[in-house]
Amino acid sequence: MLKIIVITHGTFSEGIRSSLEMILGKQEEFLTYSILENCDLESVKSELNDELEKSSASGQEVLFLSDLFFGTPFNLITPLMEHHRFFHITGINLPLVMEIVSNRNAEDIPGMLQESLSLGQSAMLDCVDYLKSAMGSRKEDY
Amino acid sequence: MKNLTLTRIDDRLIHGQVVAFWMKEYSIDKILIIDDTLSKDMFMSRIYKAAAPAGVEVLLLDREEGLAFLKQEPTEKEGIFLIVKVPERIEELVNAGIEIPRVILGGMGARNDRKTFNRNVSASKSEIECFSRILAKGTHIVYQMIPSDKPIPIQNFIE
Repeated sequence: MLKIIVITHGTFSEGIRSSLEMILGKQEEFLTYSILENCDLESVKSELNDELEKSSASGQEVLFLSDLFFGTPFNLITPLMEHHRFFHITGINLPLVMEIVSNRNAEDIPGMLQESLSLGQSAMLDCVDYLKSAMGSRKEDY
Repeated sequence: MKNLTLTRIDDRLIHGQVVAFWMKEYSIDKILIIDDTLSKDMFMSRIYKAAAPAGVEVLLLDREEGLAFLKQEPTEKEGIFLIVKVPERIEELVNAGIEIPRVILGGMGARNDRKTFNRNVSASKSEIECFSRILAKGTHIVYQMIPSDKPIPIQNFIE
């Protein structure tokens, strides 16, 4: 199973897990790291390294999910690319994470991630605009 | 001597939206990071350079190279954003004759030897003394995370 590690500023990662599990149920191999102000980054780095070593030993693929491009969580993950192979998506939202989790047993992980990314991006909508135009000719109702 | 459009002390360097906000307000085509450790990390140097926004070059230099770069003649339409992690880098440049009229303090993380002033700024006794020496030379130093924040002169909260 694809190991998923969510790392974010503050407790966003735990929040996303809680929302996700409310909808899709309890998740396995789903780790969260909340990077708070006084966080010991060196010890987080070391734990991440251990997780990657563990997974690599058993042939398990790892996906990192972070919140901001070049934010602190992102910068914790990127140096690990030098010695480990893994997937990493940033700018995450709940629809994206749900899609990935629902398809984590896919044969073709890169392909699945590409499609999930697309879906995650199109999940963001201006609702009033969207619904107004979907309601189209029924202008008198609105 | 090069003209610095923006100078910042932030140990997170180019991070997330913060730098993006600053780059929106000023015309920047070069981000200059002066940091001995990072300049020698070949892998991370490549990552930082790759992450540069379109039209922006990221230079990762050590102290010597950084000073040499800043001593060069300015190029027309050049916009340089200097980012360092600690005040000592600024003091070295000022002492070497580089003009740095204004420094924006964005972040210095908590550490054992540092006293915490707010959630983004912690500083050790020697760093505070360094700030005082830089201020004495006429450089303005303000604490300001993003351009829309009110800049706070550091004298107000760093004792």
